Amino acid sequence: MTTKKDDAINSIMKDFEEFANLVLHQLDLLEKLISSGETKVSEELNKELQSNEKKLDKMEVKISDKIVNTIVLYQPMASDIRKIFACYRIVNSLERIGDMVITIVDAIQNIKTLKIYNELNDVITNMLINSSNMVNKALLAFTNDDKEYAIWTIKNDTVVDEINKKMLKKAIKKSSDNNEENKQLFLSFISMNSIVTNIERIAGHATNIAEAAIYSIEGKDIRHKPID
Amino acid sequence: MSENTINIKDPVLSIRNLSVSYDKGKYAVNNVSADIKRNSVTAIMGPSGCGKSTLLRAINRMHELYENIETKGTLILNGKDIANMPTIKLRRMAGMVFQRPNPFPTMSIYDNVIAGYKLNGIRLKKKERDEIVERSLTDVTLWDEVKDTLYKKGSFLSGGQQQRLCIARALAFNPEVILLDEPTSALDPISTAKIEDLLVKLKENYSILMVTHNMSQAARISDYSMFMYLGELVEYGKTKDMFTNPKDRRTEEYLTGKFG
Repeated sequence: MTTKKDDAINSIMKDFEEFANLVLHQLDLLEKLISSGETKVSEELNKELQSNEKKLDKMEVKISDKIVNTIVLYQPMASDIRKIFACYRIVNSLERIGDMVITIVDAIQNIKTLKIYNELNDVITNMLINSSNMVNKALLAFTNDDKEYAIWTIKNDTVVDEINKKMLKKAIKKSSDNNEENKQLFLSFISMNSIVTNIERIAGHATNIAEAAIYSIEGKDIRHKPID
Repeated sequence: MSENTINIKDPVLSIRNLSVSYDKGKYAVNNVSADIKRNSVTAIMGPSGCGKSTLLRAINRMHELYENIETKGTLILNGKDIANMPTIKLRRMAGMVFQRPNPFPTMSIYDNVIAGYKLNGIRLKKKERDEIVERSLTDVTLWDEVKDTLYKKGSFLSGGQQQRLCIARALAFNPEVILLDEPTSALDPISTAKIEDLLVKLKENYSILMVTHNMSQAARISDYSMFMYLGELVEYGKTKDMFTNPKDRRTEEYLTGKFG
């Protein structure tokens, strides 16, 4: 027999799963868009992305409300409080990831020079796949109490950082090789910089999720501390 | 000391291998060892029948009133073995407050506070008595409420006021440690909040050991917590650690409502 407190926590986790799956779906859509090399977003895709983003905003508020109510009504303790507190932190990160997907889509649409975007497309796609994979593993770490996945995610953050650095070097080299100091090229570079910076931030949020998962599993707060 | 406990420097009370049995061979408290920190609130939690009240009562040797109860182990209060102390002295050093407020019904508020002195035949000058009454009632934040009705019977006070009067009675002797056995379980939420505030304030001058069924109360006001189960001290540590990250599976299950 489950208690009312257990029912309340189960209900939070059910909403959380739906929320997390929707964020992963948004990342899938973004990955398809980037790997296609297109800078024009179809009306259908744009509609789906925007509609999902609105759903995510509403669900974030709903889950936060449920968490506050559960704390007030049932005063959860030990692993229960760790779980719902970690859930709260993860939902905040996921909501930010949802926002970043939309920002990246906007930046892709602002690219004026396709040539550079296409030349760097493989690197950007690779970076996004890595970041999405990190988000996925960090979420699995939380839902399955799997510390190994969390550690893998945290360690992988540096891999995405490295790809970002390489990508920027390549972008700078390309823009100087080209010798076309025109406004369009500069704007394209800025748009791409926004894309990669946001992808890097997605990886950063995956790390936050993994840290919250470790807090939920072991009660250790490893934020701002080196990992073995 | 075993792994389930913590090291405390200069403890007010040291409990060593304490066992208490009501029936031969059946232990209500089984081989408990722990050090209690000075000027702090320590909560003892656990499901009904886990031995928490029995442990508390062993500290001021209340079990001696019953022939069938056997107590083994050592209790060192402020550096002295309680086994060698006269019980009157021990109970002055370790004042007890019970679940239900129990002021002496025929005595005035004033006499209730100094009842311990009277009942033990200790004579005090009027000035000393007045000072003890005012200090003790002030310590429990009751002075302003009763200073004009000191000679009314204590039983006329509200439940919360009566419980504060009982704490004042324990404080009148300037005890080393105050033992409280579920001191708010018979009180309304407002009176409970007043007692909780009072205990947090009192720890500046006293060491407090409190049995409570109310886990939220332990989380709110205690600095250290003990979790007992089937007479055993399962876990003892800082309250904030125990309530967020208990080490023992049984503590985890109790705190998350799996049993108790």
